[in-house]
Amino acid sequence: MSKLDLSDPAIIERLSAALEVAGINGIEITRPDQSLLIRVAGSADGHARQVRSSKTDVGGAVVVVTAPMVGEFWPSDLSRTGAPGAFAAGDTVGFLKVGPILLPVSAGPSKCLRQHLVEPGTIVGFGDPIAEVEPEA
Amino acid sequence: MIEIIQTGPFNTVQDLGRPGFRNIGVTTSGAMDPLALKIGNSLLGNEAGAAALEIQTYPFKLRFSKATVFVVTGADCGASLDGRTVQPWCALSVEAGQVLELGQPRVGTRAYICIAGGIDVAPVMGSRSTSLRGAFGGREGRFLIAGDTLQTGEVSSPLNLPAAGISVVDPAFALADVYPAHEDGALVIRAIPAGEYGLFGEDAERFWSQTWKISTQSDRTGYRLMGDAIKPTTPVEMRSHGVVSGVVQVPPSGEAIIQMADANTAGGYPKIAGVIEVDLWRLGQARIGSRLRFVRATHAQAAEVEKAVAAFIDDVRRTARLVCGALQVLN
Repeated sequence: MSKLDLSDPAIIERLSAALEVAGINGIEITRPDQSLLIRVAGSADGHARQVRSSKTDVGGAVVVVTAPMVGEFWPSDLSRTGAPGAFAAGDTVGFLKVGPILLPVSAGPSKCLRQHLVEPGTIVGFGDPIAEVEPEA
Repeated sequence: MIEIIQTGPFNTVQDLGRPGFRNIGVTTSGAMDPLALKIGNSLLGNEAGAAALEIQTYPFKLRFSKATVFVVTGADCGASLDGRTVQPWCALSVEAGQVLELGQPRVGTRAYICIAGGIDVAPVMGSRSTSLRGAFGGREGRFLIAGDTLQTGEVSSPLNLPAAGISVVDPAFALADVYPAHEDGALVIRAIPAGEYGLFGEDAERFWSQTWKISTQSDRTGYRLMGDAIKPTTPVEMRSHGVVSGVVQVPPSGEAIIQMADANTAGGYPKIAGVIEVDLWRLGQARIGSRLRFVRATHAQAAEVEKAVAAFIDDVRRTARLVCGALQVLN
């Protein structure tokens, strides 16, 4: 059986409708090659949908890193003056700032940053894509 | 347990010191940068005053004998874990056998290695701080040497750190609103005129207006400052009286001395000023040879800064727990 194409608008529409019928607020599907996030929020005139879908590149090597929780995204720790290139554990793609706490977001084992998907200072929610990473050269 | 593999002299176990015994000649001791100690402990879920290692000579290397959680706060000394760079002020989990290494500081002078549960040496007069002059407290009253092993305590309510750890915004950055910026490269330290201030006449003004340099005759007991001599209008001979850390004395040479964490308990030099307590950590991170200026503050201003700093520490403690808890639920 072939896998669903999570970037197919018809598939997204069907999933969204199913979520609304079931009264479920959202769903996140992550596969090595694709990821999909659908959020259904109640609004005065019905339902609002937030959809994020991404696919890997031709080589199938790009992975989307999502926010592990809500926070303010910063690609680097601006408060440091001494070690601009230093990372916590593993290579980080950035930090989520929650009050005085900085949560390093890891690229994952043997991965490096390809590009950020959000601007510095953006408030991101759980599951929001924040960066694309690829295997280290 | 941890094992010290490599260390220079004067690296010691310190907590927040042992107040309350100066009347019997026992200095307070404690971390030269208590803010770094408190934040390190807050990130780990330790008591704010849990004992840590104060590192002021480098390189320094230790091995963790069991899995635990640690953070290096204070000076940014290019720490690495098994050769991999560790972000300053970032709490991380470690496995037994991993080696933490600290190099020469790039920013600041004193690093604090805080470990979950704190360093568990026997308390003396309610504190685990090392008193080098008294030769008690900490590790047998002496500075650490290679081969020393130290036990760590238990955390009553440990945080479950994410794999990448959690970090804190550098306090120097986060508290920039309540700390004056450097002026022409000189550290700005707030002080309040002290008991004998009036004896210095016009020289008192030069205490505030000039830039002082921290001399090589500086250590945990006190910083001797180099600058244009300031002297009382008439020679003063005083009976010895109690002094505390932060007191700025002026010996006959006219070059000021700031009493630091291992402050003498009594002294007879006239006191021109007292550094406000919440500024002492900045002195604790100041390098020998660096320059500083004093600016006049009031008790009310000092209390206001103290409140802001306490709120920041409390915020770190609460938010660290909140973030770790949320991550457990979400992931």
